[in-house]
Amino acid sequence: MSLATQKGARASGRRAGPAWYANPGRLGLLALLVSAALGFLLPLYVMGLTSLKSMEEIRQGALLSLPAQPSLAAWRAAWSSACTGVACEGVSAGFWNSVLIVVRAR
Amino acid sequence: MKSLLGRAHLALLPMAFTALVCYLGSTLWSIRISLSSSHTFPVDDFVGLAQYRRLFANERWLHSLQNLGVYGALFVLASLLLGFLLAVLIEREVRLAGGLRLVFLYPYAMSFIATGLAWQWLLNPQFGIQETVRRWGHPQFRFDWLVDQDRALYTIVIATVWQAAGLVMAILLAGLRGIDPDIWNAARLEGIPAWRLYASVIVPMLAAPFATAALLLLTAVAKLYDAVVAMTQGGPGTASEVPAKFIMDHLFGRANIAQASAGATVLVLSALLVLAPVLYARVRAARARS
Amino acid sequence: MTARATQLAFSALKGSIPIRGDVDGSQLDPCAQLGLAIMKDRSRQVGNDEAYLTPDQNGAMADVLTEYWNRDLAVESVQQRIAAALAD
Repeated sequence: MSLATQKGARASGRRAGPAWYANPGRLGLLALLVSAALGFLLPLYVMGLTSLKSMEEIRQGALLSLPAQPSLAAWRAAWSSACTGVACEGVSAGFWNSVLIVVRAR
Repeated sequence: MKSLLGRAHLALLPMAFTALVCYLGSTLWSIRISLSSSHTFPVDDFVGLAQYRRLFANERWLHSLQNLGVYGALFVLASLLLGFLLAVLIEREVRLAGGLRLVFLYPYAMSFIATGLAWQWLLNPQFGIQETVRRWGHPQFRFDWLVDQDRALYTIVIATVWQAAGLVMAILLAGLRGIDPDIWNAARLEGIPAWRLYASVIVPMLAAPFATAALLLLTAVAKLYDAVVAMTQGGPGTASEVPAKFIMDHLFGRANIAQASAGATVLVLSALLVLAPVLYARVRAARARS
Repeated sequence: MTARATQLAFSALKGSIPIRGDVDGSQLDPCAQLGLAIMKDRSRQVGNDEAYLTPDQNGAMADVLTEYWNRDLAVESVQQRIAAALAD
């Protein structure tokens, strides 16, 4: 293998080998990466799913199951009517402050 | 040239002022408070080291120091290891690299108060992973670390490693990209197995990115507070108590700013004790090079 | 809620003592009767923690009790710690 053929390969210097589904090494690598990715996504998945469920369904306790009747009611409440301390204005009150901070800082 | 230097110094004045007054000044003020008997408001007396004596007779403070030591060692090692593995795997698998990088980095961008709550749900014995696996048909499965005296700290390690591994991966990926491609070719030509190449050649070449990542992780260890508050509130009893939480509780809940300042001073001194040899070694290395 | 009969019935179920002292405690268990007698003795009455102690002392007391609950401590050690917590 001359250096000329090497330069045709990817920048990291690896030659184009067999396709990913044929190479057991690559399969193992992909499997590891995908399982790590699933593990990393788990809290986000749980948060998103729980936000679409109703309170009775959450109390039943099946954390990873899909919601029976997904609804955005919780999202609306969080945006405009959730109570933090004395004020019941939801996330919207502080959200625009955060946006302004970021925009002004640029 | 000289007038340019003068203007440059002038431009640095606001930053120097901020650094001196805000950083240094508030640190000195904290130390002064820790030598007084202030409770809710600062008091201008001088009680010597009484606050420090009371601090080190306090079981909760000693537990928190011990917990921080254990947590720090586990967190830094696990984050570096996981980050390194992820960086190596992603560097070899270019096809999905963009999406995978996002998946591994997004935890670092999220507020831990929010994600800590999600972790608390996952680790909750009644509603989380233990319950889910039991419903899948393993009624004897146990994963109640969150409420276990001896294991609550490990749950905090898991959640914070999840958050920090992405950052370590990003730093090490940059380092890996900077490695001369000819090394890979030479290794393949000589038939060196991949693990050997990484262990003996690549890891020593990544010493600088590893040091950077370790430094960032260590600062996160000293500041550990929101994860503990979001997940265990100090754990069953004081099983996951940490110094930052001790200081905050005494500052606000218990209205004893002198104790809190004493704790903060001890934390700063410990950080300096750890940093000083590292800085000294770096200065010596720089002088040896020049 | 504060009627004598209600208080007696509730305390018998819960295992505590009624909130009023002018009740006939003969139907309650021996522990409750002892508690009623203690409450009648003015020299043993102590003020409410939250009002009479500083937040620091309250917190220190909570710490001692948390330690005692979670770890194996000698009773004498706990007594000393409570005294130290209240002394500051």
